[in-house]
Formats: sequence, structure tokens, C-alpha cells
Amino acid sequence: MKLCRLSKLLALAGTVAILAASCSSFPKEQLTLDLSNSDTPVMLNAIDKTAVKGKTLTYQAGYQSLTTSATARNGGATATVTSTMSSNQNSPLGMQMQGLLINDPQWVGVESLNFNVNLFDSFFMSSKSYMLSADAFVPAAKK
Amino acid sequence: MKKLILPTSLLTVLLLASCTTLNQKLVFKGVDPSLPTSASSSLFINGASVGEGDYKTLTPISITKKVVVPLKDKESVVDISPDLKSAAAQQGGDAVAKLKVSIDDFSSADFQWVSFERTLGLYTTVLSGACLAFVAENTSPSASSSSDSTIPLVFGGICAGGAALFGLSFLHEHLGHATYTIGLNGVAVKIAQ
Repeated sequence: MKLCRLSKLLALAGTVAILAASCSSFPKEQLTLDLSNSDTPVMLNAIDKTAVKGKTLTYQAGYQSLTTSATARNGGATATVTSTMSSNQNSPLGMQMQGLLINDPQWVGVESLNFNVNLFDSFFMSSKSYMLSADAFVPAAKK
Repeated sequence: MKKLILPTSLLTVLLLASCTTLNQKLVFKGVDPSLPTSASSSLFINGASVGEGDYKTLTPISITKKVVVPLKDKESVVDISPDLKSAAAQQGGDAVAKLKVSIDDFSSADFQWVSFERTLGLYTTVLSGACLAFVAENTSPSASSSSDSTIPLVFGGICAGGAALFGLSFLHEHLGHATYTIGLNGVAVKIAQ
């Protein structure tokens, strides 16, 4: 009997955690590369780096969340508590790259743009992580 | 002390084995050099900067691209060149400027389903297995009523069903998909000759 009651509680807690995690909105703003207001050319074409000297800088922006669930029982009353912690990792990608353009390079090439998804689901906990990263190639200034 | 060993072991097994994870990477391939594409308002073509005054701005481009990736794939490459080329050609443009790349959505009902199957399957298997062991231990060998023989069968059935569901989650993970929605917004431009 106790096992049956325990199983119901655990099933409820797990379901609430999964639902809470799946209902959170998608962090679109954080995962956007927007440099449309800049004047410096930021080329998204494949780059042939053999002919140009320069350096590559990596930028990353994203979102992480962790949802946990706990069930407490007091006499005949039960309560399920679900808590979600979420945070934006760094400022949006476009905003970070604006800082690079302040030095006014002749041009910038985006070597690669990657989107990483990491999801973890267990009975008591679930976590999500979405990351957009860019490797920006900046050619050395001509002397 | 001995009584605690079984529940603790069961809980540990549940925690470790009921985890479902997804680690995927979507790599955007560089746009084909035949279509100069810039994220800003200026382009860099043939070693020279081409500013807003040097090209004719045509109509805006707005593309929503859905990419469906198998859950088993760790890395997938996305080529946005065909979409941009087609959109620019429709406007008579030969380059794209102010291209905003956004990840508009990610969804995988399959992943949620796999997670549900795995958790429920493992939990049911372990719990009904424990019940089965408990019943077997506390049933006297002389008992022969029909209810005494039915209970182990019921728990055995639930245990087998749970194990099947747990196994099914791996097959589902192998066959399932995730959907990425990518937004591409910019302007088609015509470079002045």
C-alpha cells in the first residue's frame, strides 16, 4: 500500500517537472545574431584564411535552466514543489560582437556559427541549455 | 540496516538509469562565395568595402527554415546558401546585406516522449520487481488459493511491461527527430557596376 502511494507521488512529481520544463518559452532574443545597424562589413561567406593574416575571436550567448521537483508529506496532506532556475549566459551575440567592431576593423568574417542544444531529463530534475556561438575572424590591420 | 539496502539500491538505479540526454550541435555552413552576404549594412567584395551608398537596396528577405535532425545525430550541418540565393535571385539581387540569423525555436516531442517512456518504464520495472520479490518472500509454499497465484502474475506482467517500455525508449530515441526553426531576415541588394 505504501509502495503504491509512493509511486503515485513520484509519478506526479516527475510529470510536474517535465511539464514545467517544457512550458518555458524559447529564448529567441538571446539566440540571434543581429549586426544590421553596423557599418563594418561582417561577411558570412566561407573564408580563405590562407591569404589573410589575422586572429579569431569566439563569442557565445545562450540560456540555461534547471528545474527540480520535490514532494513533501505531512499527515494526509501532500505537496509538490517545482522550482525553476534560469539565466541568460552573456549578452546577446550581436551585442557582444558590436564591441569588436568599435575598433573599426576593415572587415570581419564569421568563420562558423554554431548552435548547441543540451537537454537532460531525469525523474527529479531536468535541465536545458541553448548556446549560439560565433568564431569571428578579424584580419590584421595593414601597415 | 539490511532493510535499507534494497530501497537505497532501487533509488540509485532509478536516478542513474532514468536519465535521458540530448547533446546536439547545428553548424551553419558559410554562405557560398558566389553570393556575397553580410550581417551588417556593408559588404566586403574583392578586397574593397561596399557601403550602403554603393548598392541598390531591393525588397527585404524573410525566410523561415525548418531543419529536422535525427536525435541520434551529434552534429548536423545546415546550408543556408540555397535559400538565400533563391530569395536574392527572385528580387534580381546579387548580394545580401543586413542578414539577421536567429534560432526561432527548438522542439522535440520525440525527446519528451523518450524521457517519459524511459522514466516510467524503469520505475515500473523496479517497483513491480520489488513487489514481486516481496510477495514471493511472504507467500507460504502451502498456500494454494487462486488469489495467491494471481498476485505474482500481475506484478510479473507489470514488470515485463515496464521493461518493454524502457527498452522501447532506446528504439524511439534511435528513430526520433528534433526540429530547429531558423529565421533569416535581411535585404537583397544589387551591387552597382
